[in-house]
Amino acid sequence: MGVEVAVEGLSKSFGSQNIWSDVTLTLPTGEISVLLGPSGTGKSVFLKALVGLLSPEHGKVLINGVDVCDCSESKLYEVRKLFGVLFQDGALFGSMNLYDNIAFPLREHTSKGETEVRRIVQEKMEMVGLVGSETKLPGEISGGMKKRAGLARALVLDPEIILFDEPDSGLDPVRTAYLNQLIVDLNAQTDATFLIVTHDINTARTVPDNIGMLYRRHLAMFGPREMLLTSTEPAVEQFLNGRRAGPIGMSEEKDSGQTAAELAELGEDRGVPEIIPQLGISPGVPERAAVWRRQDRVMANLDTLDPGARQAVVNSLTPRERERYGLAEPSASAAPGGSGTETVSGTLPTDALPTDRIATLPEQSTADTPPEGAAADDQLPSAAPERPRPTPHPRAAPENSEPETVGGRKRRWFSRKRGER
Amino acid sequence: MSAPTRTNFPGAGALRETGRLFALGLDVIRLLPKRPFQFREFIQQCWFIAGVTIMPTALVAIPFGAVIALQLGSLTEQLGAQSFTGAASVLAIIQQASPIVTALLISGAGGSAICADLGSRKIRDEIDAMEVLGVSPVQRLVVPRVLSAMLVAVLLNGMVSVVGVLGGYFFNVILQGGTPGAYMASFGALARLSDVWIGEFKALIFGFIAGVVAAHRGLNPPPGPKGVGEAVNQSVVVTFLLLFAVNFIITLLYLQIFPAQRL
Repeated sequence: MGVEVAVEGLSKSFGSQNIWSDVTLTLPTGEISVLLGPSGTGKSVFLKALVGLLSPEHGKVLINGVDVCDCSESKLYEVRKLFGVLFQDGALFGSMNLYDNIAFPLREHTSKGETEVRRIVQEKMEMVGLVGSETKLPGEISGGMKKRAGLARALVLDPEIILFDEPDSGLDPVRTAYLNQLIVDLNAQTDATFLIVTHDINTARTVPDNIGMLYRRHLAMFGPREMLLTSTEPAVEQFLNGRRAGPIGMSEEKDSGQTAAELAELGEDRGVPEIIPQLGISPGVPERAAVWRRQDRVMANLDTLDPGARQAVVNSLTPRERERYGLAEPSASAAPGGSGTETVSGTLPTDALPTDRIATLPEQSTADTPPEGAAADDQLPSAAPERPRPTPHPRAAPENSEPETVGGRKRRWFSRKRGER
Repeated sequence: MSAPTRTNFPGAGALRETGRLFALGLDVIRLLPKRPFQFREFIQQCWFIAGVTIMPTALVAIPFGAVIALQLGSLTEQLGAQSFTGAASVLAIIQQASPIVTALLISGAGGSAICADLGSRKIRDEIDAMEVLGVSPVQRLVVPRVLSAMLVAVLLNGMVSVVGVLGGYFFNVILQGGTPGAYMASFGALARLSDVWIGEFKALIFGFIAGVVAAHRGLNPPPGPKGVGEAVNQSVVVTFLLLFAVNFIITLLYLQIFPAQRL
């Protein structure tokens, strides 16, 4: 089970140069979050601040109640044992071969015998597809292998929080796709909290549950994937489209006049690319518990989202899920054999959803549904073609954590911040 | 960290760096007794530093002893105190020349290698990775390196003393026509065992300084690909400056505490 990472008002400068300021977000327990941003906006600096390698001037990073930015060294080392970090080019120890590199954390922090160490290392190397390269030195392998070895090393201690610094940089599209699948599967298996720093749009569109974007020295937005992927904010739109016209310039931001002129010229071509479904898990991998936690949370806070994002969230639901959250008539989804892609706009209320209805789900009905629902779903996988994961879940684990996750606590990551013009 | 406001005045940067250097020195001392001691790393580093320093040190020590002997020899001859050449050159070599020569070579050959090694690890994120894995790089990498620099300095210092004294003897007796008996007698009259100890003590301190400065520069290289090269350069220069300043203070204290022996 992962750990929540709460960042409050974090600011960092190098000398007189401000990198970013007042970054506030919460990485929800066990979910995959992506931090996007143009090159040089301090994404890697943010990662390093999270693990206490850099000390920001202001703000807090709270992990299990410990403020990483302001705690004793021994406590910091204690907290760091929760982390697994994949550095940009693996950061393997050049003097050790791959096996020793991956075994290093085990030998340092556990009293496991050499046979046990060998077993765990073999398991992790198999996971990242490096079997047979145990005796190679980091200098003798390719960049992609270094990354995978770095990932294996980050995983050996079964961390609660895994941070990826540009896992896709310098990899070909196929390897990136494999790595992304590996990330999703890992999240399903470990239920750890993931944060991926990247500027790869494809990764951002398919992998995460939540997306944030750093831009102009602050956090432009952070929230559920639908929020950013349907955003109309010019910088986000420009980034997702990967085009030149927009507020992001080559070195810094452009002046607003030029931006406006470029955007006017674009005219009809504006708008983000269509939202694509999230990457599912591989066959044989247990379901991601985070999906359920996230869905409950997003649905409970649906009224805080923009209409476009709200529509995207609702569109992504299967009929059964819609019924569960009280969005569709039970009779409509009782016959799931019908068209899987019915128009939702009719059932979607234009104003805020009745949050109380969503938050207090009828427990009996969800408890009843799994057996028959699972059976029904097996026969009807096409009922929700856009969401490959099975719908009704034996909701034992999420149920327990529900009081905290859906409780009355203020959800910081929904507070959207716009760049001041 | 809830940042202490960074005051800026001329020289603040230098003071800050000095503070960090001292902090690292204290960290090394604090982490010395911490288990598990990196024995393997220590042995490897000792071997490495000894390997790169033994030959140059011996080659520097011979002419160093010879120069002192020749210089003093011509002077004492004019004063008619030729019989004291031995004592003077031995004192100069054991107390001053040998620890300094040792430290210069430890820093120039061993320290620069330590600095380059740590610096390249730093820019490859290895140091960060180690910290994130919950292992202190100071305890794991710096402590064994500083300790091995100290040990090798002490051992080398003994070698330089012997080689230097032999070189001085050779030039004084063979080339300047001094008498072996007078050389030995004055040596015995003026030199004390504490001179050897102070020489070794200096070598120990100098080894520590060379190790800590090299590690400090290596762990904090200037940014960019040129950074490591600059760091190595700085580490050697800073070590040399510190060596002579510290040597001056130790010598002053030693001469106050143990006044030179009367004849």
